[in-house]
Amino acid sequence: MLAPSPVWGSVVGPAILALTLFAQQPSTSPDPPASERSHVERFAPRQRLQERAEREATARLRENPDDVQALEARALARIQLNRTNEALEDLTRAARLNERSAYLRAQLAYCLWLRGSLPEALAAARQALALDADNFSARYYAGRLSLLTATSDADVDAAIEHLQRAIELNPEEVDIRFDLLNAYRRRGDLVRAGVQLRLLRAAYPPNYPRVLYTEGLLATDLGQLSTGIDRFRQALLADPALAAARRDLGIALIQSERWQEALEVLEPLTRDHPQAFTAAYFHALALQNLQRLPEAEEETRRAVALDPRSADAHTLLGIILAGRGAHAEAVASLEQATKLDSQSFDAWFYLGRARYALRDFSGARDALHTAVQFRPEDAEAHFFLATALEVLGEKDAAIAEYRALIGLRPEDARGHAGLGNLLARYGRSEEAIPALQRARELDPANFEAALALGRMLARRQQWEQAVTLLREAVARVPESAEAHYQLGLALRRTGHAQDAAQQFTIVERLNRKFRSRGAGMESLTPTSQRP
Amino acid sequence: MRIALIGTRELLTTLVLAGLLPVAVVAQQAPAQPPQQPERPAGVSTGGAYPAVRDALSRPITAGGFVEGAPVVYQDVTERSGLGKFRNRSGSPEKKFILEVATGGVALLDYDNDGWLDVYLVNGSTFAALKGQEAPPRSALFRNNRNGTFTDVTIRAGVANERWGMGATAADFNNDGWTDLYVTNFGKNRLFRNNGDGSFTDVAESAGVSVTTTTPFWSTAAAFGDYDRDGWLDLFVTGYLKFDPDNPPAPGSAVVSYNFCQFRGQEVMCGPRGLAGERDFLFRNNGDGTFRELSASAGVADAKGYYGFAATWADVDDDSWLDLLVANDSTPNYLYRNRGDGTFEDLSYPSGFALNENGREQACMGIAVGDYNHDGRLDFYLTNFSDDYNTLYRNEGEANFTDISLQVGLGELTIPFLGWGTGFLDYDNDGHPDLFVANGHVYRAVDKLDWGTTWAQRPLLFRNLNGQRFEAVPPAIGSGLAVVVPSRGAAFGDLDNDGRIDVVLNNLDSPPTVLRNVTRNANNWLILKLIGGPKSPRDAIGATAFLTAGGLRQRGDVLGGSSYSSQSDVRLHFGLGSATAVEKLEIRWPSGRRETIVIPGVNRALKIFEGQGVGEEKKSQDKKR
Repeated sequence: MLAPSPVWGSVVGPAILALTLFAQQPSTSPDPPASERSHVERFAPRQRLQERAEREATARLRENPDDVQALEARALARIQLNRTNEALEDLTRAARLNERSAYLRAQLAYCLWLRGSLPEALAAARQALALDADNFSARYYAGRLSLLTATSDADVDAAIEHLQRAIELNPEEVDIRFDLLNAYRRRGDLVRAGVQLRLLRAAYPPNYPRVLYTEGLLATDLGQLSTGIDRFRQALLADPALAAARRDLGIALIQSERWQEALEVLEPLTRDHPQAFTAAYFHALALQNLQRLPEAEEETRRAVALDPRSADAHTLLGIILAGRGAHAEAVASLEQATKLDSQSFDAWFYLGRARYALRDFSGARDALHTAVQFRPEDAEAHFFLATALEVLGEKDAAIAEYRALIGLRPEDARGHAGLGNLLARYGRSEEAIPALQRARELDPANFEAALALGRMLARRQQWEQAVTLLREAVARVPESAEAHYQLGLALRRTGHAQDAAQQFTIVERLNRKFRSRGAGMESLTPTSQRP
Repeated sequence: MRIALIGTRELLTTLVLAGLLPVAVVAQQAPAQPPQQPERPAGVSTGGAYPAVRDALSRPITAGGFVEGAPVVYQDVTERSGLGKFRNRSGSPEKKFILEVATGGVALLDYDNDGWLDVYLVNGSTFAALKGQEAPPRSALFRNNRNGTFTDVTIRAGVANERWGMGATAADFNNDGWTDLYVTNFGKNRLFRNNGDGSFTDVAESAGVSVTTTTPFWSTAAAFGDYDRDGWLDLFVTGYLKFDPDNPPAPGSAVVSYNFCQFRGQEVMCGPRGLAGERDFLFRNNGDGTFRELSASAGVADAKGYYGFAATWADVDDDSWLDLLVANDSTPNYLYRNRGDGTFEDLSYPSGFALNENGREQACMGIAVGDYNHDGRLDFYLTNFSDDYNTLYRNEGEANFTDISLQVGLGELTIPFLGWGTGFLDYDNDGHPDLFVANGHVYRAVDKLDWGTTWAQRPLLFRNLNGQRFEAVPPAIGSGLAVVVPSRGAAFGDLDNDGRIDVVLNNLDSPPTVLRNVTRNANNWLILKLIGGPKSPRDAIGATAFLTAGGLRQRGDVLGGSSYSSQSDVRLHFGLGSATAVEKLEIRWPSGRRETIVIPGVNRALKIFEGQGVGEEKKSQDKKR
């Protein structure tokens, strides 16, 4: 499992830390001592206190606009009052007034982070470190921000370096080890991540929710889903508000295909965090697998609206639409997914299948071919690609794909059946028969193999065996006109004219149904060919 | 944040495939699989939606794929021949209605008994002409001038047929030694009796074969054959569908559901599916110039109203009784086995001829008849719609047939083409019957859409490789195989008596195409005109000849009908390869008489009279090149 950042903790964490840090700076406020404050003021709400602090700082700045400390104080108050942009202005000005202050740059980094300008925040943190490599705040922010904005292993390594140094600078800030642990996880270094976990266990009580949650993360990283689920549940028991644990519990349950439980976990999450894409997406996934399809579609559409650039959401929507027969719309969603992530195997794979359903066989072939290139070890992709190639009459390429499928999964009857059927159609009976027989050994219930082998044996005038196989095929798929037709022909050749006639009556009935089928047909024009 | 679709592929697979699979496989409990054949669509489509096949210049292969430097085997000599003066006209250029796309057939006949094939081209008409608001186009008879040119003798012959013509077949129905002409129409048909003096008289009404109904009847194909072996040629006529020109089937009209006016999701002319079909007719020749309609009692009336497009008489089980084959459009084909007592047994399904190997109906247009693999049994090749393959049915004996199209190389290549007239012909005289297909689409819209097919299409010629497989003869640039025309009927015969089979195509809204066979090789040949009597029909339709030369035993049948609403030369043509003598010629006459004939030489056209042997001899004009 990829390391999901505790999105909801990402803002809270540094905010708490910042508050702590700010509280550690020497106070220069002209506020009267607590003993002189009014009773009302002493018990006033925090907001009122911050508003007062802002007023006081503003008054100081009226007298001296370049009062750096007043700017700092006002910025802090404004941060608490959720007026981040104004706080940013103050800190920017303060940093300009005191260009050598690593501290100010670090606070500027924090404020930018609050605003969501992560790259600028990281730049500010780095500037702070350039001024003072041992500034704890700057080091910490640089570490967290490097991790949040990482696009390469080098970025993650940088984050690790910053966080390690931050711990060295301030060993009492044990929480930083959570971030360091996540960085190691991101790097795939579960051994070092485990070391951090041991240190965290030693630092916190046994039921500390974040520790339990982190244990869950590591367990799922190691593929121990049951353990992970157990830990996530314990974390939630200890702190029901720990949203990240809820989310990852939901994901772990999905991975374990425990759909109903996943749904029960994720539904409250979507209610409490309606703007969270991840929650919406996994909620939709759970609904889909519980066959609550209209709800799944609605939720997936909501996920797409929350993050229109998510290839996975478009892919899921495409799959859902295809499932209810809206193939044209499915293709549109899946095509969008491939545009957003041209390397998504799932998007290409399902796009290929949806195009096939729309009878856009060349489009299906192209999409499935792309999927196979991304995952040559995926047998399903080879199978569907082979089918599309076969329909297109590209028999040599189809044969190659069936052979590839057999190479990947020798015990999969479909590869042998597909290969045998194709060889049989082109008269290569000596090669076809062993393949079909092998398909039947692997899957005695395989319709395609029974039909193809039956037809092949009929061509070789091995009538009795042919009839047996064709009867089997007809029993498996009673709606197959082809199977009934071939059975009828074989029965006739063996002198069973009446039985044959019955089969032909069925064929006529089945064909008449298609011949006279009425309204409701979706457009057959392949999407790639529409104007 | 990238999040994979975790752990749901298998379940999603099942869910997704529920929408992708045809009903047939959804019922299955085994892991879902995509179908091996495309789900059959509703509406007018019978095949799949195949991708476009293009040549190196990105042209659809139906109007491209020409090959520089390939041997020229056919030359377009239309203008030189004089047949270019004829212009097929059928309805409006837009082709809004199905009636406008089916004309017309072509008949090769020696109407003046001079030993040279003449040409009859069927013409269509217009809705305005049907209402009497304008002069109708006319069909045309061209007399062979014996020098590569033809003269229009229609007026003198009296065979203009100013009706909406469909097809033509030619035979001596009254055994007077002169070949007559039967023309099928939308409306009353014509039986032009040859007066022997260069003129014809329409005796359809008096003969009882005009197919007169209260509303205009849409006849398509016609075929003469002596099914009761009384020495008189009987007549079979296929009916297509009910069409009311005052209330034609159009998209959105009350006459037909809109879904039958769509192809590949595009609006097109309506039908044939969704429209009521017409029955077929069997007329027994009374021997006195009249016929009696016996369709129902014979069991060939087509009560189901399938859309008949082509018909031929052929002895499929070699019991000396002519059987009847009907190629139907978008409905099962018919194979009626002659019981020998005046009735027929419907073996359409049991024989394997009704459908293709996938149990699917096809949109069949034309029938070719021949023994491609020299096993002594007649095989059949049916042309079909685009997005579907033409079908070769191999005769396995006892009226059993197997669709072997894909196995012999006749499958994929034909898919983009829409085939009409077709025939087996040994174009290179190597002794192996080759295949020719005339092509052309029915939807004008195809030229505007990227479907990889075109309105006008080039013909296809497949060379028979020793009776095992076929390979396409490359269309040399500028040659007759590179003509791109909207063809319908095709007839095959030696127009210039040089021992090589030529081809005449009737093209929709266009002049015809005359393809002269200019194949260069030293192979020998033989042409036989069989003349029956007294117990066989005089033009020996229904006779079978087995010729052995060079160790190869070939079969030739004198056919009535076949191709698409057309009539080919009734003379039997045999390519002999390098053989310089005929080892054996056996003839099975329609009367039942069997004879072995000594052939005096090769590279000549001979007449063989039943019970009398070889008649007057006519040497080759140009036996070798």
